[in-house]
Amino acid sequence: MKKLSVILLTVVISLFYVSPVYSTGQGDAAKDGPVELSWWHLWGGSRTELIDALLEEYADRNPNVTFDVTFTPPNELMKKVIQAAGTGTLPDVVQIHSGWYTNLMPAETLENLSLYAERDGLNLESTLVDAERLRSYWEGSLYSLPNVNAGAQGLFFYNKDLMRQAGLDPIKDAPKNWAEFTEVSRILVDKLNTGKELDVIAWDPNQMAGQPSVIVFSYGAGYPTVSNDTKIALLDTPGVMKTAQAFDDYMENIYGSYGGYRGVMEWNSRVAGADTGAAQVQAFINGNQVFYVSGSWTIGQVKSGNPDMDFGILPVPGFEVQHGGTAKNGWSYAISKSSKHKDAAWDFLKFITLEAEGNGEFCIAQGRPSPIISVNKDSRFLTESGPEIWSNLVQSMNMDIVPEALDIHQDTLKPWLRDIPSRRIAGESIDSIMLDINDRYQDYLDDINR
Amino acid sequence: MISKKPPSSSLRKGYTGTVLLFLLPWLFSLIVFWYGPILYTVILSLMKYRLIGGGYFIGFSNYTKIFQDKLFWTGLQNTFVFILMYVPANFALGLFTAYLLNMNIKFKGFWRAIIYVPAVLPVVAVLVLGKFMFYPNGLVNTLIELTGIKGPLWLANPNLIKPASVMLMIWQCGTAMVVYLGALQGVPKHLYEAAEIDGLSHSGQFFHITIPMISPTILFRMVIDVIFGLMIFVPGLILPEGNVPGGPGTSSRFYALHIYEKAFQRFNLGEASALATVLILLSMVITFFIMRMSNRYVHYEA
Repeated sequence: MKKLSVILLTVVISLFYVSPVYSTGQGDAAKDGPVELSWWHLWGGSRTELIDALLEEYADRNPNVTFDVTFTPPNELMKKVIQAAGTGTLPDVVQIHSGWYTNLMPAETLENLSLYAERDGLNLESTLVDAERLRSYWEGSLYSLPNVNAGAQGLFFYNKDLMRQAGLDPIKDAPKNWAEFTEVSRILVDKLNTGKELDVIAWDPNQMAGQPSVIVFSYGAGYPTVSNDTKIALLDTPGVMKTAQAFDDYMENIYGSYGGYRGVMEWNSRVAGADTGAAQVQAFINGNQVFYVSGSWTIGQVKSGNPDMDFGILPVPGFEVQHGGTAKNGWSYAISKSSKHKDAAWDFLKFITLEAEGNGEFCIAQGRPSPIISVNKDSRFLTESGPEIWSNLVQSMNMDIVPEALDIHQDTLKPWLRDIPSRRIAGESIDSIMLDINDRYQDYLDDINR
Repeated sequence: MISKKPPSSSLRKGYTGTVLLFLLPWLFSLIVFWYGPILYTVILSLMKYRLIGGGYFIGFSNYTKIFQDKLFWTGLQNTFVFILMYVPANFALGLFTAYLLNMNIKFKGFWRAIIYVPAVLPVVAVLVLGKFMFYPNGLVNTLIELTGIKGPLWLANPNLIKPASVMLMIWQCGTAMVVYLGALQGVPKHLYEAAEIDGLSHSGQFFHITIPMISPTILFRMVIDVIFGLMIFVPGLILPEGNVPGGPGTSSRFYALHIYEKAFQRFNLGEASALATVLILLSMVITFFIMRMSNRYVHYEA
């Protein structure tokens, strides 16, 4: 009997070692037999085709892997992911924002990828752009890998045609600091508007495309809006308050004769059609707005929206000197801790984040930089964007790395900042508004960090 | 001959069993989907509970914390101001339209349908449409500007956002209208005939016959509207200029929006449950007072 037990135990242990449970994941997913991976991503609209192309490419290499793919718009993804994480129903591969680490408690919900990277001998330092690599870690461990380059969030788009129309030289007069910017803006608003109401604005400091401008300009000028450990709100610090004050002065100085905040609010309603970032992108594309702050993701949108438009990209104008900063925050992919196919998921994750055939092609097709250093040297980028835009883009990806307000501002901080015009019209001072927003932001950070 | 003997205990047992059997599906859903979640909410309100990582009991700390939060009081104040505007407005408009439609007018069915249709539209759709109407250059201001007056910024002004919310919400007064119409049609005609013989004017008939006779319906609608008002949420989320939930400032930050933010943006389920429990208690207390007061004002037909 004892002998039989020993034999049975040996058989069981042998089976365990050869079973997929103990798979080292060294081979590709195809070797593991039929696997269905669930995958949540946020790439809708024109990016749907790119996602399909990615899946086709991956299926060619791994015919035994099939996918259950779910698209969720960015503004809904956070709630969905955190609720799924709380109930243990995350998909195998999930899109997250690195700013969500605080809420997600990665050690409990996401697979620690450090061991996988080590096992596969990956050298992330030489593979990934610094800001993208650094934002992938949480408390010293790797929990996600970057999907697209997100650091270049503070790009200052400008319409060269409108500058010419206002008698300005789009190269020589392109603003390099805040003083030049306000002067150029004044000329543009004067020359491009003849009626009682605004038809063309130079720029709306309260626009919200991607990141709120006050955050982009603040970190661009070297003033962080949140502490490195993302626990302390810094919107009440002199640098950020100075930025907010400069924006407030801009509204009065540039649009004072058109009603200041109210004039721009009416322009939003009448010309842009709404007060959303999407509507203002369209206003830039249509030539109703000369400057526009957004990220690299907007380049393709502008090009396809108005192929004839002559536009350029600048770093955001700093207050004393042109400084700029690269944000340590952006979209990534992670593997769920509860995934039943971790090795297959890891294999796919590498394809969509670290490989030129996967991640590289996905980024190149959109004309936006990749987190992979080598991919950004692809000649197609240069051909598509032109040397001027591309060099400014590369520059903006490699500036001082600054912590950026967490991406929770999609739901919280962003609307509070977007509320500034209404509150200013109602008579509140900009200082009091910023202090109030800082209090609310701190309250939020206290809540999520508990 | 019918026996006057009471049914035997075995028969009664069988009858009770049958009743219980038929009630079972309803009882099941009542306990599992209504009382269960309420009880669970109360339990969660005593815990420090996060969606990820679970929770542990902390007594009444969540209640202490929410009462110290100024946004709790702001939310409560905004909600009561909304109720004070919404309940009378919905009552007046619902009853007025019902009264008109109860008269002998042409195309009665058509008018009833026209007034009722907005009530079947989703609230979100009504508010999104309404938002366009209240934009700085929207329909409302365009009409105002025909008189030479510059229209206000309805959605950007802290003093106007709540009235704008009420105006859009009472667009859905069709539900109240239908209920009042049913009540009006139930008022016995002979009361009006007698009043007319006594020389009572139309307004006198309205205040001395119509209102008292439909007072139980008014009470019912009032309770429903107050509870609806306590739960008001969507206007604060959709209407403010710049898509600022609760804006401008905190002027449309209703109580339910505060719960939503705690639960689904901060995932602080303990405090959110405490807020929800307070709301349940508040609804019960207010309903109790309305019912107590109704003894004085509501006329029940003998």
